[in-house]
Amino acid sequence: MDEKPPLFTRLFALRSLFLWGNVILFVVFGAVMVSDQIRGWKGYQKDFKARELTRTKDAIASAQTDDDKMRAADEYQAAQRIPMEIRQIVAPDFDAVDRCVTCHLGFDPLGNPSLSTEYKEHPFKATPNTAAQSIHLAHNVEKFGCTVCHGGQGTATEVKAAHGEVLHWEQPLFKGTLLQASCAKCHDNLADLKVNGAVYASEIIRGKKLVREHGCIGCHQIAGEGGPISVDLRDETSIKPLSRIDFAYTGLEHEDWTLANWIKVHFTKDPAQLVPGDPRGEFNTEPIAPSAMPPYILPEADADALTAYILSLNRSKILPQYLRPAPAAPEVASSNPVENGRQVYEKFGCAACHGPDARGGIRNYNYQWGGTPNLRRSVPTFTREEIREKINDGVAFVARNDPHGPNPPLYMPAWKAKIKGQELENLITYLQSLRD
Amino acid sequence: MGDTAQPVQPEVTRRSFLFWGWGALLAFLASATGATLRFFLPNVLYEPSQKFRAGKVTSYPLGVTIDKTNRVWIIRNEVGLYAMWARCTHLGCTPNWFPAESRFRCPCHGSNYTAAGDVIAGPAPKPLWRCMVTQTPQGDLVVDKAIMENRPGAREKAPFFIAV
Amino acid sequence: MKKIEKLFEELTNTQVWRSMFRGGTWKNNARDRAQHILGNVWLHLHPARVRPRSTRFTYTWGLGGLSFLLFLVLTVTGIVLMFYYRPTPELAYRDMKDLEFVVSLGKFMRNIHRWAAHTMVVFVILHMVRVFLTGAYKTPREFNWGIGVVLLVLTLFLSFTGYLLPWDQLAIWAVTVGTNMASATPFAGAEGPFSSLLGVGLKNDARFGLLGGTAVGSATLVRFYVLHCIAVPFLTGILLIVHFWRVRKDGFSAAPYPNENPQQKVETWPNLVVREYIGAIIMLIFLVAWSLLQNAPLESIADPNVTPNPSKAPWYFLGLQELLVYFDPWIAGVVLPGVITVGLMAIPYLDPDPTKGVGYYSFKERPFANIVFLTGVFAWFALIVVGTVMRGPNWAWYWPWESWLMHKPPDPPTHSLPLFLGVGMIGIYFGLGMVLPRLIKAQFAVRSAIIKVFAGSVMVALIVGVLPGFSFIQGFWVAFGLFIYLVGGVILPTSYLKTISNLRYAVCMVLLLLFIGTFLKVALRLGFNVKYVVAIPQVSLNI
Repeated sequence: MDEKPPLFTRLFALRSLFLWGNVILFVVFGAVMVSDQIRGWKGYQKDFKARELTRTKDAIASAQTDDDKMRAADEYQAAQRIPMEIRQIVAPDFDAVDRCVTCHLGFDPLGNPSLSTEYKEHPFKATPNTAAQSIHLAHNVEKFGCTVCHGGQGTATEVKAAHGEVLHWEQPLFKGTLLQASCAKCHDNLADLKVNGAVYASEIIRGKKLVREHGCIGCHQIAGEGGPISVDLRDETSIKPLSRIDFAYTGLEHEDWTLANWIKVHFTKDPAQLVPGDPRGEFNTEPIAPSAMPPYILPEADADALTAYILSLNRSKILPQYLRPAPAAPEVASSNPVENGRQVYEKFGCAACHGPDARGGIRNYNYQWGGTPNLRRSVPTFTREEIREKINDGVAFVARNDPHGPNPPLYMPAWKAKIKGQELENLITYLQSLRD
Repeated sequence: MGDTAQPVQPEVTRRSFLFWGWGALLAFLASATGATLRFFLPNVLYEPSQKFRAGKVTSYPLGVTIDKTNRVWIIRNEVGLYAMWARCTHLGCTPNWFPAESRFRCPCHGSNYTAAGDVIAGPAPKPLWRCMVTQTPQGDLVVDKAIMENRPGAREKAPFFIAV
Repeated sequence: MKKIEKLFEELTNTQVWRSMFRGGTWKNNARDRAQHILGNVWLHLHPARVRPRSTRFTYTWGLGGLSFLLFLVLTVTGIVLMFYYRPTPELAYRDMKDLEFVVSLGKFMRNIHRWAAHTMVVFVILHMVRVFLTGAYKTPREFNWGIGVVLLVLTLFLSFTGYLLPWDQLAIWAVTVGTNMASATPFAGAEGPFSSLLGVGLKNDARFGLLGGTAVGSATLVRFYVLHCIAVPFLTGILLIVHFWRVRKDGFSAAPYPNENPQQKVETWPNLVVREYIGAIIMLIFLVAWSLLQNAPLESIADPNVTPNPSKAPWYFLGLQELLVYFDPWIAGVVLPGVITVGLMAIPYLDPDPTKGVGYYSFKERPFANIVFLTGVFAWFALIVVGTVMRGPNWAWYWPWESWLMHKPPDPPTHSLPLFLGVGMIGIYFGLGMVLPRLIKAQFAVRSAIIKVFAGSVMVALIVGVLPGFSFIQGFWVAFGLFIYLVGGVILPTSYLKTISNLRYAVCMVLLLLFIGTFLKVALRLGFNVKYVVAIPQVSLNI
């Protein structure tokens, strides 16, 4: 148990450890202080101030009348007083603290009440005489903040974090058409909201029309109303947390894993690939069929409109004084029985399974006869009573192709609670009028 | 040691070694203290902003309008409009406006002020403070409590007074 | 330089200075060097002179002192953070974002607080291991070791309560998992065994008291805030005072070797103090650099309706969460941690002999103690690694290179043993296991015995593997169980526990058998899909 003399020969090493330890500690802490001072928003604010100084100085030089000169001089003085600080809008009605205006100085309601600038690039861009400016002026920015409409992470002061394009932030910025989805949070009267004569939320309205055309509510529900085959688009899809979504088969990059993209990809890719289920029962006690949603593979614009519409169904908590209801559009039932029957066909989303033209052929996994029935061929083979019975009671038993495979996901639900009386009769008349 | 003819390499003495070591430590402690003190100064406030918009200039009636949220009075007379901080210059209570007597009276120690802010009774040592007021091109009133003036003469001029 | 020294000398002789720092100007002689220690409130824990061996870094590695330094760092940064953090669900998360984005040095303060917390848990455990390996728990230090175990538990509890405060998904669900263990406490937990006998239900059990409600909510946040910032640090402080006092009174580290001349001491100032200082500086550099380079995570805001998959407890509890695969919560979450804590505290009373291996590292003099303890520490960390790295969604097994997007088949169905068989097995295991080592009278060399047992186990594995109806994996688990029992439960006790008293022997064997039994059950589960060895659902008793 001999010991190296720990004292004198080591003392020198101890001393340099002492010196270098203290010095390195100071230097590392200095690095912390420096990195704390270096903030992206400071650069943007410096840039903005410099531009404003130049602009107002030029305005003084080019002013014609004395009044104009005085006004320009005032603006120049105001530009000199622009402080370097984090700016925030506290919007307690929306439980928001939005610091967007720290960089987007054109929209700072105190610093720039006109909410417009001449600059062409973000973050200073705030083009006047646009739909955007009208909407901003109509929604008092000091009361609304920014994120209630635009999404993003208001409390952040760094670009990517503030735009919500980081992990663990569920709502990134609404880009492009998607922004219209926010209007529906308060406004039911979207068709009345016009800017310069044109309806602003036109894509939402178009999305709603597409939903009706394709008959989405034949399988899906919206706020409880619709078919039983799949999820409720408002109560489940529009508020789905990211941790519940399996992005494995979407082909999206990790940074694009957003709810909006998840919805959109249902329209641009084959849903049976996105949600492949477990047809051979490898991971579950029973085999599960892949998604029954048909591969619509829509053009980009239609997919965006539908995505925006579905996101617009989100009913996050808005205080009653901000809601703008619209009277329900009355349903105009046609007097012609065949035409009325077609309206009923559309209203209950029969097109989802039977096709917009009732020719069927929508795939039904592991169904003995392949796809859904062609009504134009099958309806003439039944009497009116038989057709009524089928619609009322549905067809629950759907024969399997492979008895060990999963249950076919599509089946005819029972509509007797929803389609009745004259509507039912007119529907049957319409179906009987179809010929191949 | 050694003969004086040869130049001696300057050695780092034990003394200067320790000096730099302790010096670095003191520098670290000083900067850590400084940084912690800076930590305690908030960069954003969850209070009503010192600078705020207060509606349209032309919408104010003659007389005194009380803005409780921002603790200012907006006062309009025949000549124009100004904003006064509703804080008694004695010890900081909020005086009340008595239109029948055309004066502000502070409930705490009885200071009285005219509508212009001058002290006409009580222990208040100075006139009421007026805040900077500006007008946006659209005609909105912007009040800034960070910049104030209470000297007669200066307070009746821009930017503490808007001619309407 | 000379001028500064002259100034300093004048300053230190003024009345103001002398009233604060007794003794005036410091002269570098033996008396003043001793006075620097004995007369200083912060340093007088140390004796004026220590044995030179105790100043070596590789003796204690400074672990105890660094743990205390970390506690101080946490206290200071914690108090600083309290100025901006409000413990309500509406504000907590936003305040975390404020600290990250708008408070000057807020991000740094939060980071260093988080990383120092993790480091403190690690260092406290390492300190415990060091004290064990140098036999510094033996008489007269048994009580101080017990205080240390309590301090370890308090450190874990501090880390756990602090974990909730950011109020993000990680926080709320980690605490949900952790506190659900409390509801599994026997007698005092609503879902533990025998709860129905005492009328203990959802609204009056241990978990209810801990949470201040039936689920993690605003009441929990306030409670954990008070526990984390005031109650537990206060308690920890008191125990630290006792702990340091006993260190001094029981004798400072590095007891003399049997033939060492006890006069050969060196002065604490500067020899020990300088080394402690340098250790502290290096730790601070490490913490500051880590806080500069890596941000503490903050997930999305706490949502009681959405449970992330997987939902993991903080890393130091992941070993226990992994054990939940094999045991009911009342065992994995209450009984086993309780037995571990009590077992740790019992160590000095089971092994008090102060003549062997105290004050220095020695494997040869204390083979049994070292093997058992180090195996335990290793098993604890191995379970943590498994829980952290190998468990993915649905707690399925994922190798580190496998993406968590891969779907994994569910576990095969499990079955429980019939009651008579299970009770019988446990009875025979403990009954036989207790007496067997004392019954074996033969002498044998430990190392060759272990090698023989290893070889035999491998053969058993192969034999079982080729038998019809069994696989090689099952053979492996049989061999594993056989090996750990024969080595840990028979060979080691037989060789090393011959001379201790019967009472000590009994307690030691019980703890040893429980330790080995835990892993035997793991083998039964993984090899043979046995869910419960004993299942009595009427009183919620499942083993």
